[in-house]
Parts: sequence; C-alpha cells; structure tokens
Amino acid sequence: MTSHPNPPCPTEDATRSTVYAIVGAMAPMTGVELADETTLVADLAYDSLRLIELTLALEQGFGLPELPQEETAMVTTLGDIVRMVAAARRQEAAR
Amino acid sequence: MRRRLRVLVTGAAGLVGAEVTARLAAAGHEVTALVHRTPVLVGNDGTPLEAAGVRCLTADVTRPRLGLSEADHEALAGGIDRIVHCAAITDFGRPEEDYQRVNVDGTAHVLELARAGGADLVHVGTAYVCGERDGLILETELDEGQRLANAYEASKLRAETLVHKARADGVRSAVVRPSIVVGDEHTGVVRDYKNIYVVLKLTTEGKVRSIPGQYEARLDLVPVDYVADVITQVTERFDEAAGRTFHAVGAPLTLRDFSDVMAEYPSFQVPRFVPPTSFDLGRLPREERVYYERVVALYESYFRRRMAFDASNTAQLVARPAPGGGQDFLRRLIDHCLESGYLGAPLPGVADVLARLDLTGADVSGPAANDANGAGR
Amino acid sequence: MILSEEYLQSLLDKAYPQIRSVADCAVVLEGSIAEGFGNSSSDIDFLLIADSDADLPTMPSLLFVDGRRVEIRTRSVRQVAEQFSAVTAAAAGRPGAAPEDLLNRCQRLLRSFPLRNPELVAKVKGLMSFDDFQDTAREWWAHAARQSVRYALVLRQLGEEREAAAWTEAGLLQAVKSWAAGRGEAYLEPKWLPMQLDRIGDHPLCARYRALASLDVSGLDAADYVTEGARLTVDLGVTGAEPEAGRITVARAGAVTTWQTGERVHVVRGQQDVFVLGDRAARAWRSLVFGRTLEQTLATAQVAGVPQAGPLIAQFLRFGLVRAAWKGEGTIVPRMPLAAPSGDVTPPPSTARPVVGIGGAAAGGAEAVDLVPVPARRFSAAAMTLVWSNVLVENAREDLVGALDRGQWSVAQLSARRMLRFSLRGVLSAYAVNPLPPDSEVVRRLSLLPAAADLDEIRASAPSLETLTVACDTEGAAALAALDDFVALVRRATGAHSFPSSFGSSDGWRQTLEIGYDWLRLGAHLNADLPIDEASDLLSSGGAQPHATSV
Repeated sequence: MTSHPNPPCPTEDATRSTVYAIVGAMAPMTGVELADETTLVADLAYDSLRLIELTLALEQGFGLPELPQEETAMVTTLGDIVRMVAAARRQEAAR
Repeated sequence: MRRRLRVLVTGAAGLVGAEVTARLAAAGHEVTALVHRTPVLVGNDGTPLEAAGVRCLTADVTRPRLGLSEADHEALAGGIDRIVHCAAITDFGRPEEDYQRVNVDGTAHVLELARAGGADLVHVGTAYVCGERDGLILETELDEGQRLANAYEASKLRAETLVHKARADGVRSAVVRPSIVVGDEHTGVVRDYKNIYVVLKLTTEGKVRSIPGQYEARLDLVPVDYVADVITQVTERFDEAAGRTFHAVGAPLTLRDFSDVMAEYPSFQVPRFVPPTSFDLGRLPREERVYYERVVALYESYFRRRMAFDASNTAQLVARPAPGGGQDFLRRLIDHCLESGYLGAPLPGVADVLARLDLTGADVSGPAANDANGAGR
Repeated sequence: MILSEEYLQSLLDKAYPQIRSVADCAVVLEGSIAEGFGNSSSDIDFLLIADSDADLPTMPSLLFVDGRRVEIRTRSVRQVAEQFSAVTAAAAGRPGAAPEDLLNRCQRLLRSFPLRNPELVAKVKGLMSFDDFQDTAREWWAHAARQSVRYALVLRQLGEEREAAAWTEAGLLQAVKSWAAGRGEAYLEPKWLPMQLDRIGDHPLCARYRALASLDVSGLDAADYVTEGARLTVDLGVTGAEPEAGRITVARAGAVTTWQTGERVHVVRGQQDVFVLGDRAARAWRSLVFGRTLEQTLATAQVAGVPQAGPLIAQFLRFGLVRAAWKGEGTIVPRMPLAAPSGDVTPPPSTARPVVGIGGAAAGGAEAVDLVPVPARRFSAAAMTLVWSNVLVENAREDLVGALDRGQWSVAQLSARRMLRFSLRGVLSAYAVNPLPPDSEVVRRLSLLPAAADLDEIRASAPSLETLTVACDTEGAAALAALDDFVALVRRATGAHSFPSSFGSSDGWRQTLEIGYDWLRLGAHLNADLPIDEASDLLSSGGAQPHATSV
C-alpha cells in the first residue's frame, strides 16, 4: 500500500476509506459501525484531547499542514471530517 | 424551615450548575433550571436529577432577553426571587469572542433580568480574576490593575465588574469565586474531565514531558460539592451575603505536591518542571509540541503563580469547613480517574495508530527523530 | 491429664514459698497439660488470680521444681475481666484484629484446671462464655486462612507455584484451626493440632486435611495443590478465598515512588531504599495500575513486551513496592501461623559498580530489581553531583582552551587543575561518595575507591596531572591532550562516555539539562541537598548554555 495516496485532485471518495480507518482506529469506543452520520463525541466517545490527537493523526496520515482550529472545531460527524480532509487535500494538491 | 425561594439557575446543565440545582431543589426551593441545549440535568455522580421542584427552561444567555419573547421574559422576571448565574465558558483556548458573548454579554443579560424582576443575583465568578497577582488575594479585591493570563480570566473580570456596577442601579448581588473546580471532596468523583484533568492525562501518559514551571507554584483545587454548598448557602442566606464576595477555594497544592503524588503511581510519567526562562517550545518533539501548544500552553501561567486565597467571608458564612487534604485529596482525585478508566489505560498514540494502518512515513521530522535519550522517557 | 492432681498440688506446694503470693488467691493449671496434651518435657503453667483490682506484673516467674520448668503468672480479677472485654471488643471490630497473645491468655484461662479456690476460678471463668470465645477464635483463624489462601492464589497467578503451595499449607493449617475452634478445639497454638483432630474423631474433613497437610504429603503438583487447598478451605467453613477470575487487584503500597532518569527507572521505598529496575522489570513495573486485576496487569505487561511478567510482579510484592488486594475487601496481608506479620523483604544491596551513572543507577540485567547500596538521599545527591561535575569539566576545558589561545599560562594551569579535579568529583560521585572531600583532597581520596583496572589507571595518572605545569604552547598542548585522555578514561570508568557530545551542540546541552531536571525531581522529593550552588542556579534560574557563543 502506498503510504501517501496523492492523486492530483483527491476526491472525497478517495479520502473516505482512509479517514474511516484513522477515525475508527483512534476512537475510544470500538466496534461501532462507521458511516458519514456517525458522530465523534456521542457515538465514538471522543473527548477534547482525543480530538486533538485525531487532528494530528489526520495531518500526519495525509501529510497535510496543520489543520486550522476554526475548521476542526466545527466538525461533529465522520462526514464532516471527510469533507474537511478532502478540501485540505485539494488545497495541498493545488499548491 | 427557611422561606421557600423561587430561584433561577443559569448554566444548570453544567458541572457546578447541576449540583447547585440539586441542592436548592432538595432544600425545597422552586428551581427554574435554565439550560442552553441539554434538557436533562445530570448530577456530578452521573445520575439524572430527580425533577421534583425543578422546571427546565431552554434559553440562551448570549441573546438579549435570554432569547425569550418579551412576554416570556417578563413572566420569568416576575416569578423569581433569586438568580444563581453559573452559565459560563470555563474551558480555555476558545476564540476571544466566545468568552465575550457567553461570559460578559451573558452576565449583562442576566443582570437585565434581575433588574426587570427585582431579583437578587448570586454571580459565580472565579478566584483567578486575580490574574497574575502574587501574595494573599482578598475577597474584597477585584480590579487591582493585575495582568490577566488569558481571555477567560479577562472575561470573568469584566463580568464581575458589571455585577459590581449594577449595584449602583439597585441590583443586589453576591459573588462566589471558586478556584479550579475538581471532583468530590470525599470520593474524588467528577462528571466531566476538563481543565486540570486534561493536563494530568497528558503528563501522566508521557505525552507532555516538560512543563515550564516552578516547584513552588501553587494550584488551588476545590471540590465541586464544596463549591455547590457555598453557592447554595450564599443563595439561601442572601441577606447576610449581599454586597460581598466569597472565595470557594480548597487547599493549594504546589507543583512539587503534584510531582510527588504522581510518582506514587507506577505507570505514571512525572513531568520535569523546567524554569520558564529556559523552556524552549521549538525543541520539543513534534507531537509533544502540538499537545503543548493546543493544551498545556493555556495553563502556563498557572504553573508559575504562587498566590494564596483568603476566604474569611466564606469561613464566616458557611458552616461546612473549608476542604483540606492537600496530597490526600489529589490522590483521591487520581484514584477516581483510575477507577473510571480516564487515567491508567492510555489509548494507542498517533504514531502507533498510523503505523498499524501502514500510514507512516508522512513526516517524521523535528527534534523527535534525533532525541538521543529516546522517546521512552 | 498426663499428670495427677495430687502431683500438681505437690508441685504447687513446693513452688508456692518461692513466689510472692496473695491471700485467698485462686490458682489454676493452664496450657497444654490442662488441655490434656503435653508430654514429659512440657512446662507446667500456673496462673494465680487475686480477687482484687490490682495491677499485677505481666512477666511470669520461672522456677525449676522436680526437674520441671514451672511458669507462674499472676492476674487480678480486674485484669482478667479487661482481657475478656478486650477480646469481645476486638471480635466486634476488624476481623483478625485481636492480638494473638490476648486470645491465647483467655483461651488458656477458660480451659484451665482449678487447683486452689475453685469458687473464685468459677467466678472468673463466668466472665466470658466459652461459646463466644470459640466463635472469636474461629473467626480469627478464618481471617488468617483467608489472607494466606488469597496470597497463595496471587502467587500462583504470578507463576510462583512453589511459594503459592507454601502459603496454601499455611492457609490450610489456619483453616483447619478455625474449623476445629468451631468444634470447641480452640487451643491456640498449632503444635497440638494432630491431637485436637484426633479428639474431634473420625471426620471426613480431618482425613482430607491430613491428606493435604503439606505439598509433599499430597503428592500433587504445586498448582493443583493450591486448587485443592482452596477447595478444602471453603469446605472447612472459610469463605472469601475462592479462586475466581478478576478478584485479585493491584494496590498501592504506601510511600513508594517511581523516578525515571533517562531510560532508567528507580523505585524509592519509604523515602529511603532505592531499587533500580532492569529494562524488563521496568516495563513490568510500568504496567501496574492500581485497581486493575492481575489478569489485566499481566496482559498490559505482555503488550509492553514483557510476557510472563508474573515473577517480576511477585518480586515487587515481596519487596513491598506494591500490594495485592482482594477486590472490594482491601489489601491482602498474609501471615504465617503464629508468626509476626511478614514484613517487606529487603534484598542484599547490589554489588554493581560504579553505583550510579549519568542515566541512573547500575542495574544487573534486564530482570534486575536491585537495591542500590546507599540511602536514597545520598544516592540522589551523588547523582546530581555526578551530572554537574561533567558540566563543570566541560566548562573548565573551555577556560583552558581559551587561556591557551591567549597565552595566559597561569590561568591555563589553573584551568587544567580544575578540569582534573572536576572529573575526579565525578569518579567519586559515581561510587556514591557524598558529600565530596574538598577539591584539594580529591586526588588522595581516590584511595576510598575499590581496586579495579580502570580505577587503578585513574589513581596512577591523577597525581602527575595535578602537578602539571603550563608555561608555553608545547606544555599547554600536552596538558590539554593528557587531560582529554584522562577525562575520556574517567568517563569510560563512570559510564558517562556519551556525555562529551552533549556539549557539542545546543541539542546536546538541552539533553544534559533534561537529565539534570530528571534528577532534580527525585532530589526535590527527598529534600536532598543540591550538590553545589552552581547546580541550583542552573536548575532554578534558567540554565542558559555556558559559553554559548563559543559553540
């Protein structure tokens, strides 16, 4: 597996499976079936500290620069993360 | 039996607010619990509050008239004797405007309600409105030109100043200033792990290894049940309390106490306290730096301060003795964290998770890579 | 009884004139002979009871009459009454709390044989019902048995089967004593147990106990013996020690703290004893979380790379670094029958030398749980001095180089001497010499250190280096080379060989400071003296890198 899938213009679908894998592996609550509607706090038991770690994992896992806190603060579901990461990757690819 | 009071508690879903609501209701008062979103009140021990004597009202302190219609606002104002204003953002690191909206504007809106209904106000502030002042902090002191450590403290100072000013227009008020609110005095139980708990987690798990601070610096931890008792007493005995301020504080613990108690737990890492002048953020390994910047940095000032809080007014009014315990209390808090699983069972770290997913190699850089003393410390 | 009443009366007549007796007192025979046990070598134990509320001495008188050892104790009625109420009170409190001697005294009196003033004897015995006493004795033994068997289960789970079997033997003996006490056989000392069981008669539990009385007799392997022993314990009426997953947890031992410097983990017991852990031992230690079950703890250790951590954890238990608890019922405190509570074991001090290096105490292997041979405060002070001496050596060397550059020969000579002496401070500190001798003495005081190849070499070269003269370029270069060699030798000998690189870069300097701060935590915990003023400056004032401009 390539550790850095870095297509010229990453789509949400291409991002989704890796986001799911990271969010699932980082989640305090395990064994939850993941969907775009799954909420980080209520369903996966993320607390504020674990959310910071998740941000770190996403940044490092996708090779992204620091995700701005204004954006990470708005995230509540897995789908939100997919959109946020996909947008950040598109921005990265455009640079 | 004291007179049955009609009390509005703002921030009733919060840690302190829920405990105050429970006490006032248990004492037979008629409580209107003002909540922002959460319609269910949960006590510090995690059990839902029995609803007897408590009416929940959804409202928003950040909006004029608390977001209520004119009629509802008028009805509310006309039906209460006292307001206990607990609603506030107490965690650190939020955008400046959040503190202004909730802590300052929220207080202004609550003052309007008090003025409209002729209700008395018990304002819950923080002992740390003293900012970075040193020495003994008196309950009678407020704005001494002190330097404030963060937007939270600054907002609480502005809010308390509003409360003082409103006295001129006849809003009677008393202020209760808790220090750092933590678990129950006797059981260590706490509902939410915030603030100091997050720092404890990061340090004991070895994610943050160096903290700029002094062994003699003091943190004042106060049990939530004691804070709720003080607020309840001040509310019930408002005539004696009016116009005064009450420190709801505990026994201060030095960073050395923290270091010594943390060392009693075999699995815990104990941070090294580095003189602030020689602490260099840029030299931290990347992960530690991120934890530091996003969490620990918010508390930096607390690791240097050495003030003590005088609590004469509280001692005079409140029958319950001020909590002591020092190191024993800290042990109780930590033991509860172990029991609940908050501490002692670290989740896999970011690097481990990425390695397991075969996503490493992204950017291993920074001083971590050439930390000759190893990451195992 | 093996002795007739007439014989006992005659012994008493002979003994009586030799003791200070009290008018109208009662006299009883108590102990093994009165119980119907005993043999020709058994002592004769008389108890004189004065009908008063006097404070009579507790120490017995010892006489030899007719070639027999005769012990005579005295008690007043008030003292006897107090003993009985103390037993009643203890029985109402914490189980197992009654002191053994108290129970023994009461049992012996209640089962004594009257020799004088039988009315008074009857009155005194009437102060406590034997049924109540027997219940107390049964509970007392049951408590001890429960603790022993629980501890046996702990040890078995930690893979220490032989030791577990030994505690099972102890627990079974205590359990059968409890069972026997419930049937009236409350005589406390276990030495007549076989006769007590014989008196109970042909009971299947007696037979089962005899078959399991020891591991050898049982013919079982140690692990099975523990299982069978635990089962018989239950059948003997002692509950609360049934093998059950998840019942045993890890608990805090008071005044034990953990301090890591670099990679090395030190555990300090009672602010006095320092244990240094080898790598595997350290990882096992780091797996201990109070309140977690042994199963969880062993699993955590396995994840941390220490499969079979049991024996290491057992060692921590023996040394009192951690305790085991029975979930919901507190710490397990095992004790052997009629022995003092077993205290924490202290191993002989480690012989590894040098005692301490920059990164921590010397550990004798991955599994080591070694006792550092000096008390904690001196250890911590010596370690801080060691770190600091290495800093000072670098400092003096830079002074030396600077002075040589500018041809300041006498400054250079002084710096050379400082470099030598600071490095010797390190040598002495590595061997835990603390406080240090004055600098003028450090060369001669190398005589304190043991014989060893590298130390002999240090001792051989130091005197000439102390008298080096530096008066020209050539001498200066030679002195610098000689001192560099010497410092390298010292650092090899004290395990600080990686140290010089610490000064080559600001990163290295940071690491040096970090190790210094690591040691400072322990020093602060122990209130140890900071080695020297410069060190406290470094640690409290910011520790800017010395000579940062020259790097």
